[in-house]
Amino acid sequence: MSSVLFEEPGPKTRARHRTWAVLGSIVILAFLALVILKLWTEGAITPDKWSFLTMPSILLGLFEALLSTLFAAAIAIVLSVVFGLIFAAGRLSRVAVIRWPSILVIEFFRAVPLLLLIFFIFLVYSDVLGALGSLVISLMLYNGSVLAEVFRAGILAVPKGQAEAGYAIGMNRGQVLRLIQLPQAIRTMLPAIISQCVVALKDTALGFTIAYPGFVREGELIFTSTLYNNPIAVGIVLAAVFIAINYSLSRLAVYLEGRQRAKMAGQQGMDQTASTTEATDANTGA
Amino acid sequence: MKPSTRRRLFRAVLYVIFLVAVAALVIVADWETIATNFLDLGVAAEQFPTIITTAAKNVVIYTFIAFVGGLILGLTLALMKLSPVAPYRWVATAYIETFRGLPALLVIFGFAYAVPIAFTEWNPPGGSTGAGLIALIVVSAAYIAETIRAGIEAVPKGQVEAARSLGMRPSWTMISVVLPQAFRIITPPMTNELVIIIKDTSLLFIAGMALGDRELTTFARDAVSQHANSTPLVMAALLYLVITLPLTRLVARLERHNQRSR
Repeated sequence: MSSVLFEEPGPKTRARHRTWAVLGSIVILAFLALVILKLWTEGAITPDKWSFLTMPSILLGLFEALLSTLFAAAIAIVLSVVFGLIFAAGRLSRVAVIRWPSILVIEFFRAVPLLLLIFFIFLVYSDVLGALGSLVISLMLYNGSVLAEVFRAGILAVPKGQAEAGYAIGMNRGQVLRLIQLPQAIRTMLPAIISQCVVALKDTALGFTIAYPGFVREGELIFTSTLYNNPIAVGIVLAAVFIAINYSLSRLAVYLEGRQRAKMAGQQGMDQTASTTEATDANTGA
Repeated sequence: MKPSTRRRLFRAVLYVIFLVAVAALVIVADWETIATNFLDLGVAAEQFPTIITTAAKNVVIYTFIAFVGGLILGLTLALMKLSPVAPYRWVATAYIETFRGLPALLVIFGFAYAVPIAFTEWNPPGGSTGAGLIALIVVSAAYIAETIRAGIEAVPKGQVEAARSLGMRPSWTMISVVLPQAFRIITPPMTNELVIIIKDTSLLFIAGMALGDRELTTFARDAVSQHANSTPLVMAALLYLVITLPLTRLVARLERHNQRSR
């Protein structure tokens, strides 16, 4: 790991680092051991607490619940991207009657907690939309507004000359936006878009509050049953699944960012100024 | 047709569509139902002053606690992640990836319900709300740590080299040269983090709260079921806007300022 903060250490520093590493490891391992020992003696993670993992019906139920969470997240993400594109274009419009409503919508839904939005939509429209619809629409409104800002930032970050070149060959504003600015914006903003998708996926857990039969809800059903009564064990399983999914998605974002930076370094000869400024942007945003 | 005429015509059509849409909305919408369900002034008046003195005040207090706690823990984690001592880096990475990968709801749930089962003597100040707040600190620290790390890495290398060649110790270089510049760089993302924490305080309801501990969303939700009327939710939304909008505007201004000064 290269760090800007530390120069090549000498023998004395290395010895000190070794001491600290050993001491730190001991403290951390002791802490972990203490926690695990405590959990064990309180009977929170003894083998019988994990027995639900051997029941095919429960595993199937968990799997189905995970699928319905992922399903809600997938619809929400697709709708958010569409919503975001429309409102980003609206906010960049030169026509005031389009721009101002777009700004209003984006700012409103970014400022209000998602949970409040979910409660509200579920309360008012649950007859029409049901739990899934309320959840998906709320997620779309919130994440779509955030994505609209991401798209807008991306479009504004595209070098001006690109749009000017488009106009110069006779494109109109819509064409410039669609064919020139947007593709470049999406490419530069892909990491941010993916992390917003991770946020949307995590927020799908809020469906729990309106009794959407998702992953968290299913977990709760298991550990509140008198048969198991094992919140810690179930919690560890739920957490592991969430972390695995979200970690791989954020790895994907990092990978794409790295690939993009490499590509930009390759283009350096072609378009020196633009790519170097963008590379520094990517650095600060990392 | 000249392009400029076409553009003017297009714009006129857009205005007409907009006006028609607004008119249709005004005509179609059932104003009476909307007014009684969402804008009932009687119900609204009943929410005062508790909605301000308790609910909004608690949002601010919870945000402050979670942000300051998250900042301290996040700074520690960021420094650990950049440490030359490997185990510290591992711990920081594991922590950050864990809590960024988990829904905040699940963490609050865990701290409020699962942890007390195993650690019976663990008794956080403030009861279950306190436990939820600790969860909020733990989650926000993971995000803040990544922001701070990005800020530290964005400080030009020459700054460190200059300080080191003047004979400053690495730790003093960090405190007096790198961190002040890093915090200036990350002011906009940090403000965004603050806005996210403000909104995440609404998740604390899952921990279960006493009457005086309720924040805006919980308060509004209780009032909704009490009056069978959605007005309190609308009020809560407006109050959140009052709190967060100035902050998001500030972020936009800071970002523009940064862009210009570059």
